[in-house]
Amino acid sequence: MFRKSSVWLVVLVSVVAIAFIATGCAKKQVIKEEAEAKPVVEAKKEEPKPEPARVAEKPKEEAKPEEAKPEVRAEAKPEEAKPEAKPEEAKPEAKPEEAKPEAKPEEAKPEAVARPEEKPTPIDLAGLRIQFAFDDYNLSSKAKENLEKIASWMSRNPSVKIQVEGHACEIGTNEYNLALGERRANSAKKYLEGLGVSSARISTISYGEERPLDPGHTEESRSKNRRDEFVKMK
Amino acid sequence: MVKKSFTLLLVILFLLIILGEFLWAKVYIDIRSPSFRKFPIAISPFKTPIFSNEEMKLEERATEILTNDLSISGFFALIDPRTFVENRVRALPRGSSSVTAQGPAASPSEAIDYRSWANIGAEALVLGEVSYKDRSLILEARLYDVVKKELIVGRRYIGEITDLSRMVHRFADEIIFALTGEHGFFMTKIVYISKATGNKEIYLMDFDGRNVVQLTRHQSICLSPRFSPDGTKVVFTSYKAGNSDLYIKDLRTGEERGLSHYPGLNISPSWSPDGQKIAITLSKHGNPEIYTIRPDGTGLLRLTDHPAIDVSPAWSPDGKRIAFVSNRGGNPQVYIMDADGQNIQRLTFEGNYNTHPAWSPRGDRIAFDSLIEGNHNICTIHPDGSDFRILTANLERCETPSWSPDGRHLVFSSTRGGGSNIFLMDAEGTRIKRLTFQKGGDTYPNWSPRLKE
Repeated sequence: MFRKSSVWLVVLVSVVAIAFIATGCAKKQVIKEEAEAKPVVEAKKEEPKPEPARVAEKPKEEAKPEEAKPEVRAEAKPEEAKPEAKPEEAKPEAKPEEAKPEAKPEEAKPEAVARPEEKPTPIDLAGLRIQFAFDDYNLSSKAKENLEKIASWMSRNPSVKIQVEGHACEIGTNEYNLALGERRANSAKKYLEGLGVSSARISTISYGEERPLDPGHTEESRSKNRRDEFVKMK
Repeated sequence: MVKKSFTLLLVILFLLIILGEFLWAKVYIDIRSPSFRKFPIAISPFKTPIFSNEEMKLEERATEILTNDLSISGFFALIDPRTFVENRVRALPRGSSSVTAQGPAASPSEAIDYRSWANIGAEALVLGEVSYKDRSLILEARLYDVVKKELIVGRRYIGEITDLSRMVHRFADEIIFALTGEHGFFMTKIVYISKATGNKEIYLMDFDGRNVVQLTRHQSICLSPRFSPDGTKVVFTSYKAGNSDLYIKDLRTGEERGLSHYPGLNISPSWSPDGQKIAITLSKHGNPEIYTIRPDGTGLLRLTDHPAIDVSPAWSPDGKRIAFVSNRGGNPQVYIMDADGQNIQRLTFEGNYNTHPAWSPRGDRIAFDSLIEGNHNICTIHPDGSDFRILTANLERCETPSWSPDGRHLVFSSTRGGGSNIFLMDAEGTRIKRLTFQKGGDTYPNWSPRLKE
């Protein structure tokens, strides 16, 4: 009995002592930290200092992961050039672009022979862009008219593929406008499909409010920006 | 019997010790009370030893950063420095870094004339010193209770010359924690999109607008950057491969990888609070719908199924619900659904154009932007649809709100003063502060969680 209780006494004393030391330290930490070496250690932990430097370096490394995923959308790469060659702003540029595919026969080996013969008849796709009302993706009768012209041109030129670009005006958040642009592009695509154009020949992309036709902030420029553009692929 | 009473004694002792801790910890500012009084604090200009490089004006910058931090917090009435009498403060005990510890033979508190600080209304006082030598930067700062004439918290930081603002932010966090019992948000960053280079790229800055770093060089269009809940990664949309695809960038390694590249839209990512999922918008079946995907790109799960547009998901802080934008009612409005896509309910009814929801980390408000009389404004609403409030007015187009980790502040973009820039305000819509000043057009701010480092 005596032994047992003395053991407990020892345990008690040591536990209390530990508790006091622990809490005491915690309290004094506040005062002592600046005096003792502790914060130094703490601050040294901060030494992911190289970080800012690393952050700055990142962009260089970026190039590699990009290259690593070319399969993702290999065929999409030519598109990158397109935006700058946006139709009417850059009609002259559009022509050299059209010329490019012929300059690169290796891209289209199977069609290499057929191509020169089937040179598509010219069409002013930029002039056939279609407009939409605010926050709307329904086709107007004028839009349908333009789409019919495009459909008949595509049926006369069966090798031609197009991309429909959906755009929105600056009103609204970009994410919603990206979705809206997607719907606008899909409206046109569906209508073209209804006119007999194979869906494989029509791709879509939405730029939301990112590529305005008119950079102004008036209602006039905004209404111009609520549109679908049609771009010939390859 | 003896054993039992000993055990009991032990338990009681423990409880006393633990409770004591709580009882002794004084809360100076009860920020949970809606009508808390702003706490009067004086920040004495930081000192610097003569030998340190004066051109860098480190001490001025430290004072400025700390003053700005405490001012933004909204908890303090900062005492006008013009009322300070410089010689009331004798120099802090100083010495070489290793000797400092022995310095307080005369303890620091004895060197302070508390009464003169009390006379100008201060209830707390900050004293600090910055020095730079042997290529290391040392910042010492202390917070004193002027009324009780005692030290509340003191810290000493050692680092590199570039760490000044980080040291000051850390001390500001200590001040907030010591006085309010809640954690501050000064060790946070904001990612945003800037067109400074001509292309929309992702940038990172401190929450106060300092230390801007460009994160991407896609030379394309980058959009919608959002932090992971641990603050180490950013998920975003980029057109660099020709389509709107999602990528994740690791901020520590700089590594970047694709998250999703389905045909059509891959946009509006939002990381779940537990970090396990990312809610996104895809249109691979022809219509924008909300999905979740794991950060490694697997486990795609569709949540919405409606012929209308569904976009811009935002998680509740408990991860159980998702707010999103849908035009299923004819125009874009904010809706809320369970995290599995069930139980969809419309949240907003005011106006006919409400987008970009952001759920407060405290769970009690949802911020969004609303088209009111032709202009976008930042609004908040209770998640049950009550208590709709408009926070901005006459600020031109205000868009894309994002909450601070403490839920007391919001960043957003506004076209006030020309091109779009990033602004900060408190959750009541007051004390608006501009953070970016580039002409490039800065949009899509997203506030990081509290960063550990």
